[in-house]
Amino acid sequence: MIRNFNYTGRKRIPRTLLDFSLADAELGPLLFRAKLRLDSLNLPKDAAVYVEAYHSIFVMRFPFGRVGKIEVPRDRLLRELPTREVVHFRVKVVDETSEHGRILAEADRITATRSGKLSLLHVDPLPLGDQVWRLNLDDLWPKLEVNSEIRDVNMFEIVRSSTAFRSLVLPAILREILTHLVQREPEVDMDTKDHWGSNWYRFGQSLLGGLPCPTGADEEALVRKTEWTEDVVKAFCNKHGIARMFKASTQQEVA
Amino acid sequence: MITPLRSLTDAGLQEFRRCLQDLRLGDITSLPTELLNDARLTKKEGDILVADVRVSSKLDLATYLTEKIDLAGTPDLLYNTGMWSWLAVVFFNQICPDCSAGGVKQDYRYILERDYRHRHRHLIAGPVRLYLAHGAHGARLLLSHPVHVLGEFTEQLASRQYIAANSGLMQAAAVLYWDERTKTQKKGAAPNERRPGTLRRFIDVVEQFDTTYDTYAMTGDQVVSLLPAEFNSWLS
Repeated sequence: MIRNFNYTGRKRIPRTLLDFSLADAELGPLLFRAKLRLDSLNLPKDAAVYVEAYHSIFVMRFPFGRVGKIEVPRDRLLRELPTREVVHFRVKVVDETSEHGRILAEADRITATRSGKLSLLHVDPLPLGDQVWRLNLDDLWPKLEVNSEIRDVNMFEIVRSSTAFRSLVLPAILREILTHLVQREPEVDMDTKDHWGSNWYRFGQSLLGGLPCPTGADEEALVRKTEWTEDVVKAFCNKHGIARMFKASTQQEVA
Repeated sequence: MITPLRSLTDAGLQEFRRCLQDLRLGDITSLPTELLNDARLTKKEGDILVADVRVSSKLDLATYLTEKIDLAGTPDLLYNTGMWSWLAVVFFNQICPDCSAGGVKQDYRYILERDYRHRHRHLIAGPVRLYLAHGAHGARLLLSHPVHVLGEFTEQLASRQYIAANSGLMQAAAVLYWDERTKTQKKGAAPNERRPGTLRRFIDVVEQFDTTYDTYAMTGDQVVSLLPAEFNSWLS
């Protein structure tokens, strides 16, 4: 897609001012919660605020009151959106005083955490030169950084649905994260969900039918942990049919 | 033929892909009936009965399937690769009327891909998704063709999710390019180049609107009122 130029003075709403979460969807449509903190942006108090939830070509739009008085709608069920796909959100602040509403500020492609089921990996588009992706484990939460400057390529969609990318990259990410954990953060508190490491350990454990990562800090323990990591990656590949996914992607390329 | 709704299993999808290749090579001349109901290649999706009814347009097809299957109430079904690919088997004679080497198109027209670049090109799921998102009137520009034709409007508009998701922009395209008399698109509206006022210019222009205006909240007429004069000739 050709990117647009922002000649209009439209403000970007920093992600740090927005919190989105999704309630578990096992019993029906997803329910989202949103906290918007727009006070510091120096926007007109009477400008309208909208949240749009979207996936593919399906959009649901929710009025959130005005900048000066955010009003969270009661009904925030995403009835028209799938429960098993990644739903994104955008926040728009709109000047509605003229015939055609003008966007004063916007944040787009916001992903939500799932309540009780946090996203294990955040995807962050960044200029990466000639690198397509890299893993950032230095932040509060693991980030898959993807190159935002590859023209006409929507990396969010690639990460989400490209069988070629997923089959090659996801096992590598899993291996790198678990290797990092077992080597550098062996003492993660498994009772907390606030540390990303415990979530990833639990994820690995679940793939092995509940088998926890071996404990200990000596060389022998490290070997056992490395074996556990490899078993997790193998189980992940088995569960998601990674080889089949890769084969399908190569067949698509040939076709 | 009337049959309970089914989906292709992984083995069924593999077999369907192989059959498409065999059709292109001329090794077979039609799909084997096993793809419709074989227990290994397909699985039942419920008690809904579907028939390979004759449809004259994508709109007919989308109307029929959305009446049969509660897609609005269960949006996850829209991503069920096996089900949409099985429906392509059911309607294969209509979405692929010419089974010769040149007549069988790319796999993604028949087998629903998860890749967003191809998803809209599925000849069964694509029209249904547009119909659900915009209704018969809003999506009329993209649903008037016979079911086996993808069409330039679908290629250009449905491939751009920010347009295909935006009712104001979709309606605006219809205001400009829909011929109410012939019930199809106006002639010359979608050439392969950027002639003033034609579809590709429309896309260029509304792409810029997207940074300024809340087009999602606009009607088609409101969007059209923002367009430069080069589009005026299409309004007559």
